[in-house]
Amino acid sequence: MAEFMILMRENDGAWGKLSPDQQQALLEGYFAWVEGLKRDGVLRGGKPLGAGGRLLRAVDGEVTDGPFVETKEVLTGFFLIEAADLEAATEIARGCPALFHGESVELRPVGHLA
Amino acid sequence: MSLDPRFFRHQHGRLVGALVRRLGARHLDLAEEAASEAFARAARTWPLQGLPERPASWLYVVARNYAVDQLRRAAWLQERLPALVAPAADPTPADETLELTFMCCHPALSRRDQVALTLKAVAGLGTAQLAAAFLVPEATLAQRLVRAKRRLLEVGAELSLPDPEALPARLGAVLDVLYLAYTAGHQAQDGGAEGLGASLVDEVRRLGEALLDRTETARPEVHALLALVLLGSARFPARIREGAFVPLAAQDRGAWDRARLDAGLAHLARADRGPTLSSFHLLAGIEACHALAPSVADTDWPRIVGLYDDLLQLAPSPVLRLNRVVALHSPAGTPPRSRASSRPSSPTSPTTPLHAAQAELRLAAGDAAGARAAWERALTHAGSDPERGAYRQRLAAL
Repeated sequence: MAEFMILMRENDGAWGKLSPDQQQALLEGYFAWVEGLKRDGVLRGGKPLGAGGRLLRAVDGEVTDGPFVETKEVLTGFFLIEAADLEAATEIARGCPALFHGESVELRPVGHLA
Repeated sequence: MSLDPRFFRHQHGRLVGALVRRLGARHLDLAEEAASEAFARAARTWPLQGLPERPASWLYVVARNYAVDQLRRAAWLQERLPALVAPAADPTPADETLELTFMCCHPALSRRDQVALTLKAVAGLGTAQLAAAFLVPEATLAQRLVRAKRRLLEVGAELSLPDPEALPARLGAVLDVLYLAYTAGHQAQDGGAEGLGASLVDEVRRLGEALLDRTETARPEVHALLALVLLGSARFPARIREGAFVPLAAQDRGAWDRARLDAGLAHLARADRGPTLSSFHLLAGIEACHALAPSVADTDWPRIVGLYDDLLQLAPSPVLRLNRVVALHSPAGTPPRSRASSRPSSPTSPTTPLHAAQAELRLAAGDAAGARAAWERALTHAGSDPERGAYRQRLAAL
């Protein structure tokens, strides 16, 4: 078994364009999806990411903590799952509700890269 | 998980109201954004950690923190920040939905913009839903909302109930806005968007009941509006059959929502306790005539015609005049030349197209060819499939 991280990225404020009713329907989608992952014993964890934060950059050898992250694409959260291989992990990630409210999902193997 | 399916929608207005109270009315935009962000965080947190003990307080704290972060990002801050950051024993904010409603129905805005802003900021409907309800492109509607909020800023609108002397007129505006939202619900239902229609009516009912919960705004005309809304929407289950609009005469009265009719009649009884006779009283009276009648033939048409006469005195309008004529030519209408086969369409629907009404009247007068021509014109002008279905049925029945 290997561990994978599902990284969710929001594009261009897509969530904010939904009505509260639609947002609640997606919340219920998340409940159902997470419930399924728990039932299958593949969920290792996950966290939402706050919108604020800071971007550190080295410019000409000097590290600056430039104002705040201000991009069109923002990381909104991650899930850690367990799967046999990338194919199996992809199947799991396909159901991630983030995909249904204008976010993209990136799937990356965690550690043990050899 | 056990949340009311409209929990977010109902929390939206409360969150926005509470945040506007603390941020100042000029930050309506930020308040809306913060509410939406709180819902987003809930969607990503609750499934992993379980429902919080008090979801409403959780949402408020997250929305408030988000707003603080955003204000910190922007450079101006100092004066407002303490009010937000001050810890409270109970983080559940007071319900300021009503204050927010009055702010959105500010007299500096056109009635059209008041309706859109109220439904967006208070009732928690999405811009896509509003665009569908008002038959405009979504971008147009979003632009209107931006302009309306800018206007509120310019005139220094505040989050408060109006002064006692201004209250009657301002309450009148709120009631007009609710009535227009209700009418949009009717149109949505006729257009085949039954879910949207029901949502609009639910929100009108909820805001009307909120007005009755406060002594300042618990006035007879609010009961009259609620009576009108409940009595009229009780017919929703019978108004659409197999995708086609069903006229009043052909509706299965057994399918009308009895509980809603009873609630509407109870409000009508309480609407009498005041000196004012609003158009909502008269419209509710017309609805009650239909609600209490066992059939079209046994409807108190003379009374309905009388109520239309009173309405025309209050507010003359071509649509009312037309509806009155239709009522007059109904089976038991007062001086009908031919009362045999008249089948009126819903006389209270403000959307009754002129051609359809003409067709009914020609049919009532025994002019089948004229009726056919008018139905065909109606068919050409129909805006939705259920409407077209209804006109085709009438043509086929000729």
